[in-house]
Amino acid sequence: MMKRCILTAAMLVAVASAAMAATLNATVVEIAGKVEYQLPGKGWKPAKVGDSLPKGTIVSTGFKSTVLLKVGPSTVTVKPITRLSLEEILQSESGTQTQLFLMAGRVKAEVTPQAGSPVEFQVKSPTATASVRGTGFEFDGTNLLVEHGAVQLRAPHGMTRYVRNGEFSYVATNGSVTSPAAVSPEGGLERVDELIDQADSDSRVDVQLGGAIDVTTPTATVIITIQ
Amino acid sequence: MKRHTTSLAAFICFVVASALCAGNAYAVDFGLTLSNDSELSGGGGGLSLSQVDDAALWLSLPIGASSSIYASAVYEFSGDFTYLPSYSDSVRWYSITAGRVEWEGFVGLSDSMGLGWSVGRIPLQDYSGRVLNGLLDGATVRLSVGQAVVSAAAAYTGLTFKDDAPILIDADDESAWSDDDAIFAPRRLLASVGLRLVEVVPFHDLGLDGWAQFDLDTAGEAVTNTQYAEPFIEGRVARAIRWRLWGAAEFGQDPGLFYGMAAGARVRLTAPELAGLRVTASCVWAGGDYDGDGAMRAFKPITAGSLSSVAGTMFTDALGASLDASVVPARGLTLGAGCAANFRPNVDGEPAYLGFELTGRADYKPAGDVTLTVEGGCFAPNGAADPEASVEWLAAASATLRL
Repeated sequence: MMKRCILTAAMLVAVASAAMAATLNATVVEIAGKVEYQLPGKGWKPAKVGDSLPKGTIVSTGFKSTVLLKVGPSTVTVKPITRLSLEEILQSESGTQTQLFLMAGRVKAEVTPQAGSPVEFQVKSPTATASVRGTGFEFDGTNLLVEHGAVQLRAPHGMTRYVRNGEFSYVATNGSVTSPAAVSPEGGLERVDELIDQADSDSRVDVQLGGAIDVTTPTATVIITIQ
Repeated sequence: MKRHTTSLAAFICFVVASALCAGNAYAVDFGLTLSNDSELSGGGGGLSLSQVDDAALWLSLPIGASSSIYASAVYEFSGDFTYLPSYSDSVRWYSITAGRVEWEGFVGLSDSMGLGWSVGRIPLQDYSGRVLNGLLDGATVRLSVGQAVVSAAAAYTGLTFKDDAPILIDADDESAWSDDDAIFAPRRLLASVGLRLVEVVPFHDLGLDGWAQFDLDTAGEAVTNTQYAEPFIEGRVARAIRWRLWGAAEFGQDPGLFYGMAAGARVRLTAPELAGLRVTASCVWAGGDYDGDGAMRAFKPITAGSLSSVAGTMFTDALGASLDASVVPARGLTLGAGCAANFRPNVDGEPAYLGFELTGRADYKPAGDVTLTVEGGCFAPNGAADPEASVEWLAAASATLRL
């Protein structure tokens, strides 16, 4: 009798949870250039505006191609030469949870907070995770440009810095997160070299050494977590 | 020079062979950087031209998954031509030397710990860049533990051209500096330890740099060892304002004990939306031997530096204040202007104000591989402080092409 009660209760909880955490699909809103997607277990097909992309779909963009996806209450611009997998899009009583996996390339996310319904948004990559709430940012796995809101940028081995709206930071080859520099978000990470120059000139000492030193190219990985 | 060139060639061969043996030839990146720096200066009826032409061949390749090697060799022509009051020239038709040669890497030791290193002819400087700033032969290690970064470094100065590491700590150094036959910097062993705490105070870093130099030229008139402790703080106040403050205490033995003090501060206002406006106010001070007695002496950094661009006032027993502004009116073009005033202590009743400097600068990058710079300035000395001093001026142009 007791076992039957427990089993019934467990089934009720499972059914209730399923009802509360509904899986959402992403929707293709805008397309420029060549964009394809692969549904789970199926072949590649060209994307069209209005296509509904379920969990497990892989989106791929070509040269000079972008696609704008609406993912729950958030939007994601998938930049050229990017491959992105939709890992999870859940709507529950506790809010909306989105997990994307960035295999290669760059994304720009606009995470819109909703009153009384928290939004958790994560972009993972082979070496990094971006997780934000109520924030707009651009991220390529090493370089971070925050358009509004604030993001905690975390290097793989622990160092963190807060990067606020209109600031840029990156993880240097020595594993450190550079001090954020105030920059204009205009142009985004397309002009990452200029942004790195600005960040470096902010942290540089006043006494210059001359032309013998080259700015190192960042190659380390980052993790971004919610502020 | 020949021996130096041979060593350099051997090193580059070693690097290339290592790359091929490691199977990384496909990942080798290399290039050639050509640059020209011309400088026309005058003052007190004098007129002189200085020209430096460099060709730097560089190579970069990964070594394993977590480190890389960068090597560069530099050919340089340099000439100093004095036209007034009488013509003379000093031309060095060629020098071939190693530029930056560095094996650097970073490995994670755990989720919260990482170890970075850099070995070779590498850039070394203290926090402020006022105590040490040079491309020296040595090594650094950095251990990152969460929000703390512990660093250590060691270097040797004796294989660096003296122009690249101006060491003027004692009388022997000054003799070597003025000796045309002395090519390399005085032989010093440098050691350093440092700690930086990243954003332990919101949006602010705290730290302490410690540097020491040991005089290896024991045959000279003096053997002078010095140590420096340099605490600092830097941070952001809102988005637009960055500031930093540092101090340095120097302790020395020659063999008597002595000490010196220095400090600096900088506030920078950045407004990217206003044509990239950046305004920087800074002030640096290096203490002097104010009473001519006792243990306190004029602050002597490891590598000497000047207070401002045109004036020759050195960073010892002096104070400098400056205000600079720059804007980016068009993509790739940066225009800047600055002013600075230099002072010295007026312990003997002499005027403290040494003079005022105005500078202007334009940087243009029409493409990522090309940089053109034009700059100029003048220094108006205080006649009351030095009746023989006259207005000094400088005009310079440089061009860099990266192939």
